[in-house]
This record gives sequence, C-alpha cells and structure tokens, in this order.
Amino acid sequence: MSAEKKSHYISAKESRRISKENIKITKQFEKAKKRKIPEAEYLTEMKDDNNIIEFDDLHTYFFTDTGVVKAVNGVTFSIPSGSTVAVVGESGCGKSVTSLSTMRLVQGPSGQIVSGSIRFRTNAFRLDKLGRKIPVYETEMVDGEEVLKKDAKGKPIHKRNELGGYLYEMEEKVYDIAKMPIDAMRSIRGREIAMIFQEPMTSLNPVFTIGNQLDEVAFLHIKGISKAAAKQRSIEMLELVGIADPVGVYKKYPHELSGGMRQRVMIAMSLLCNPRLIIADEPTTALDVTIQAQILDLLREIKGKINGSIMLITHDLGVVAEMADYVVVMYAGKIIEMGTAEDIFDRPMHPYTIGLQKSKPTVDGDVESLYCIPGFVPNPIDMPNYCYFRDRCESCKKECAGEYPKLVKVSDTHSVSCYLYKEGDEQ
Amino acid sequence: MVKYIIKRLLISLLILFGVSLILYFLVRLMPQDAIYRQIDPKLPAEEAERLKVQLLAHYGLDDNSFGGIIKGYFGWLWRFVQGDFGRTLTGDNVADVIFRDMGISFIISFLSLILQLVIAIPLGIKCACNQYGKLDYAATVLTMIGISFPSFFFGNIMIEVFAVKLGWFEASGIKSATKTLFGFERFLDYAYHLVLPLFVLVILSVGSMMRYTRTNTLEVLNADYIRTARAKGLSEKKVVYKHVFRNTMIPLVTTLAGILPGLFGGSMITEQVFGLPGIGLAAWNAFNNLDITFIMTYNMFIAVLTVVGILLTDLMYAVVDPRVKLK
Repeated sequence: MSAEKKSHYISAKESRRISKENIKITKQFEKAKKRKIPEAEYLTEMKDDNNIIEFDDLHTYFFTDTGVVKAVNGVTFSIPSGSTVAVVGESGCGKSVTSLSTMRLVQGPSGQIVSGSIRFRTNAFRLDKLGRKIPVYETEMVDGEEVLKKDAKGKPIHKRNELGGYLYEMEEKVYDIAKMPIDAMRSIRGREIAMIFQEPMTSLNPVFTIGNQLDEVAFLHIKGISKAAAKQRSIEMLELVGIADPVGVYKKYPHELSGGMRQRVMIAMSLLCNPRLIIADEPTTALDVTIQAQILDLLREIKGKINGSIMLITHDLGVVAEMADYVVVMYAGKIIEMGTAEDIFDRPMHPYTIGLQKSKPTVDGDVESLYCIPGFVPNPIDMPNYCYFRDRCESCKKECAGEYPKLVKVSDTHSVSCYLYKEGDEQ
Repeated sequence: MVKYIIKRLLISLLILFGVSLILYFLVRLMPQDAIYRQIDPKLPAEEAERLKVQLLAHYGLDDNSFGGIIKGYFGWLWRFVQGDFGRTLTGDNVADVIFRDMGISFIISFLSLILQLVIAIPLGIKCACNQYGKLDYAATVLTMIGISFPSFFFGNIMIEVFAVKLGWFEASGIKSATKTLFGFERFLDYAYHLVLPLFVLVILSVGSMMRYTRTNTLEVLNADYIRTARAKGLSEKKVVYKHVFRNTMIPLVTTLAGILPGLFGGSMITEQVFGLPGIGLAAWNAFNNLDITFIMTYNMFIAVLTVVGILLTDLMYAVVDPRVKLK
C-alpha cells in the first residue's frame, strides 16, 4: 500500500460529494423513524424462547463527511432471560453503539441502524381492532356471577394497580426494535428497557430536583398514578439502591450529590418501572474503585430483586469476571469471540482476547512493564476485507490473507472468529 | 441573599461614582462651543463677553484649572445627589423632561422586546431542533440581513417604501397632527404610528437573540442529560420544552443586563429617524446642541440602569440555575 493511499485525508470536493450523498441516505432513515406504521410491521418471533433479546446481524453506521463508519458491523448475539451478558472491547469497538441501538438512541441524523434486527420480548399492551389499549374494569360477584362494578353514574370503574396506575390488558409480544418507529419505541424506553449511563456527573439534568426527574418516569409509564404515589415510589427506589436519606435526596439537586450517589440515583431511575432488561453502559468507569465495587454489588443485588437481565458494557475485565454469566468480545464493530465467562477467562482463544487478558494489570506477578497489543485498530472508514486483527496478530497463518473469518462454534457455548480454530475444536 | 444585595448595591454606588467622574471630565474636555452658540451673535462684543462669563459661571465651567474642574465636579455631584438635575437650554427641568419622554420610549422598547422574545426564542429552538433544515437556513439568512443593516438606513428605506411610496403608514410622529381623537380611536392612532418603528426595531435586533437561542439549544441538545431524558421514554416535545428549554434559559438571562438601559433609555437613532418624541430623541437633540446638564443627567440615568440591570441579571441567575448560590 502506498503512503498516499494510507492517508486519511480527502479533498474538499470529495467531502462535499460524500456529505451530499449522506444527506440523501440519512433523510430516508429519519423519515422511517417518524412514520406511523401498524404494529404488525414490527411484530416478530424469537428464535429461542429462553432469550429476552436477540441481536441478529445488526449494522449501525455513522454517515460522516469523510465516509461511512461501520461502528457496528454485523453483530449477532442474544441475552438469555435472567442472565448478565458483558460486552467487552476497547474504546471505539462499537459496544456503546450496540447498546444505544437497542434503545434507538443513536445520535441522528448521522448515526443510523442500517440493517439487521433486534428482537425483544416485551410485556406490551393488548390492542383492540382500532389500535387502542383495552382497559381492565373492576368486577364484583353478584349471585355467583362476575359482573362489572359501576360507579354512581353507571360507568364501569377502571381497575388500578397497587401504585394507583390504571390497569390495561397486557400480553407478551416480540418486537423488532430496529424497525420500530420512535413513537412506539418510547413505550419500551424506561419501562421495559432501562439504561444506566457512563457519566453520572452529567447524566442528570442540573436544573431539576432528583425527585422531579424520578417522578417523571412514573408519570410517564404508570398512567393515572397520583403525585403522592409517584413520590412514594421514587423514595422507595432511592431506598432500594442504598441511599441513606431518601427523603432528603429526593428534594436535592444533582450538583449536591457525589458521583457515586448520582449513579445510585440513575440506577434507581432505571428500576422504577421494573424493566426486563437493564443496559449498563460502563456504569463504573467514572467512579473511584471503592464506589465501583459498591455499585457492582448493587447491580447484582437488584438483578435478583427485579428478576431481569443485565447487558453490561465495559472495557474492564475485572468487572466482567465479577458480574457476567456470558461474555461477548468485540473488536472494530464485529464480535470476535463469545461464550460463558469461564470460556473466555479460562480458555480464551482469539489472539485478541488472549492479548486483552495479558494486558490486565496484576499485583502478584513480577512484571517489569504492562503487556500491550502492538499496532492500532484499522481506520474505521475503509476497513480491510481480511481479518481486522491480522496486522496486529502474533499468530498469523496463511489463511489469514483470505476474507474475514466466520464465527465458528468451538463448543456449545463458545464461538470464535479466527482461522486458528475449527468447528468443535474445544471438545 | 439580602446581605448579598446590600453589598452589591454599595459596590454599585462606587461604580456610579467612578462613571460620573469620567463623564464629567469628558464633558469638560469638550470645546466650549456650547456657550458661544447660546449667545446671540448680533450682541455687542462687550455684552457678549459679559453674558459668556455669566453662562460659564452658571454651568460651573469658568475655572479650567485642575482644581477648578474638581471643584466643579463636586459642585455638580452635590446638586445631583440632592436631586437637583439642573435645567436644559430651553429652561425645562431636566428631571421633568426625562420623565415626560421616558414613557413613550418605554412603550416602544417594551413592545419590541416582547415581540423579539416571542419570535426569537421559539424560532431559535425550532432551528436548533432541525439543524441544517430549510427553516434553519432561511432564518439564518434573514436574521443575518437584519443584523447587518444600520438602523438609520433600514429605517429610512422603510419610510421611503411604506410611507412615501405606498402611503400605508405615516412617515413620522406618534399621533396624527390633524385630528383630535379620544379613547379607543386615539389608542389605534398611536398603534398605527408605531407599526413602522416597531418593525424596524424588531427586525434589527431579533437576529442576535435568535442566533443566541439556537446556539445554546444546540449545545444543550447534545448534553448527556438530554440522552437520559430520551432514555426515560419522554416525547420529543417534553424533552425539548422541559429539559432543554430550562437549560437554554440560563445563558439567555445574561442578555437581560443589556435590556434594562435599552428599555428606559430609548433608541436614539430609530426615534430620531421616525420623529418619535421619546427620551432617545431628547438625548439626540441635547447632543446636537451640547446641552451639558442634560447630557450629564441622561448618561448618569443610563449608567444607573446598566448597574441595576447587571445586578438583576446576577439575581436572575440564582433563580434559574440552582447551582448558583449568591454569597
């Protein structure tokens, strides 16, 4: 490759052409986000009913003025219900974009889910023929028969749950999140999938009290809840995440709390509606070590309490070892290895995963300097068509010159995308 | 809070003292044409000389040594703090003139401010939400044109087109000279005369506020807490008008400092172009005739308004931003 070809610079003319094309492409995606379509268009079926969410060949691209960045480039994995799945990788490998895609929060218009699907099993409202929610009414037993209870005006009484929210008929549905319009997505955000962000210091709105920001979630997703009940619920959640003075914190502004406290508030916010899936996007990166341990303990504890799943995004292998049941290792927008936590920690296979393990600092080893994987991640704008890790790999083979290796199953739980291994290698 | 306000007010007094000192010295540096202008050139030389000395003494300008200027300043200051603002060249009490003309200037500035806010803030937010959209480009181009026009130029063009050529509006003045109207008709007459000047004022200044709102909104839209708000499942409307708007307001409040002197001090050039009898026009005439007493009082009036405006801004900061604590 000549030096000229390697350079990342493009002429202004080229940049203009790219940006013009991008506008055309992203406009269509933005339109698709806003259109109103019947539910049937994004209803789908799970491949495996044990899973809560399945990512299938997900592609999320960023259309920049210098070219298309394939941040997530064909990612396929699933999260079994009740488990913790860690997505690991270095900065810029696409792990955060995967999580943001799940929430449909990728920053438009440049960032778009281009293809693939995210199948999510959700507890959704049963809709009548006109697409309205079906309310549940209070009933009473009269002469051994169940009849609707009427109020003074003869109207049936809308049944409420223990929080005072109106009850509607619910059913299990599987949605393809990648195809959903944003309007429909809003009923899943915060209610069925909640997200905890990396930066607790800036993730809370500085001008509203903690209470205001927590109550908002209850008002939004529990229709008909009273002010007092919402406050009660918020304070309960603050207590659940181990805040010592929940009533006091409820009235405080974010700047009056420490980083660890704010992350606890964020976790409380995510728990408010008992979500099935909590996405924790590097929840401990911005916190100091003692607080990190507390927050991880807390996450583990609440996972048991709400009976949900956690998708943990991290680059910290220590966190992974402590938390995860399954691990997905990503590199440059693709999954290079995945398996159970034991698979990845005890029997790492991909040279990149092995390198990651080696570059973890230890206290007992007598090491002069920390190991680091040589070389750099390839330029995301024009990725090579061979293995993305080839140029940094220490155990390259002849086949590595060929096209990008497919993911092979070395055991029932463990797969790796590398020419060094063949199907069923581990058994 | 009360302690903070008292402290700030005391500091303000110090600032005003400094401002008045500089103002007085600048006025004293002006060539004394003002005095000669007031003397009828047809008077015999002896009489003129006598009148000149008398007038100089009247304005406290007779001694031009440093000590004399200092003495003159403190003399002026003493009368000023006692509430004696002196008389204009035409013999009116300066305070009366300012209070008489302030009303009309206030009404014009206040209406134009309300119109600016009503147009600029929603437009700025809309443009930011659809960045690089058609509305954004159109608003940017139009407001840039508005910002670039000098007020006397744009005002005169408007008069030429709408008053002289088309004859839709009156070219100058605040009320019809030929008719005597009462009640609602009189109000309509005022409103009719104010259309053109208000239009000019709003077009000229709406741009900067709109651009300011747009920039701030764009900044806030990219904040982490807006992503959090979206992740909760809030509608885009709620995100923008609750979470974004409150944060956009914080820097907008700083612009309040500039508004207060503008509200009461009038707009000198626009009032002059449209012949509106406001305080701006009075000041314009005073500057033209070198009316020293009026210039001093008018400038001090603006200085007081500016200082109070800045104080109000700081207080407003504490109201809109819970992170700001005034001590």
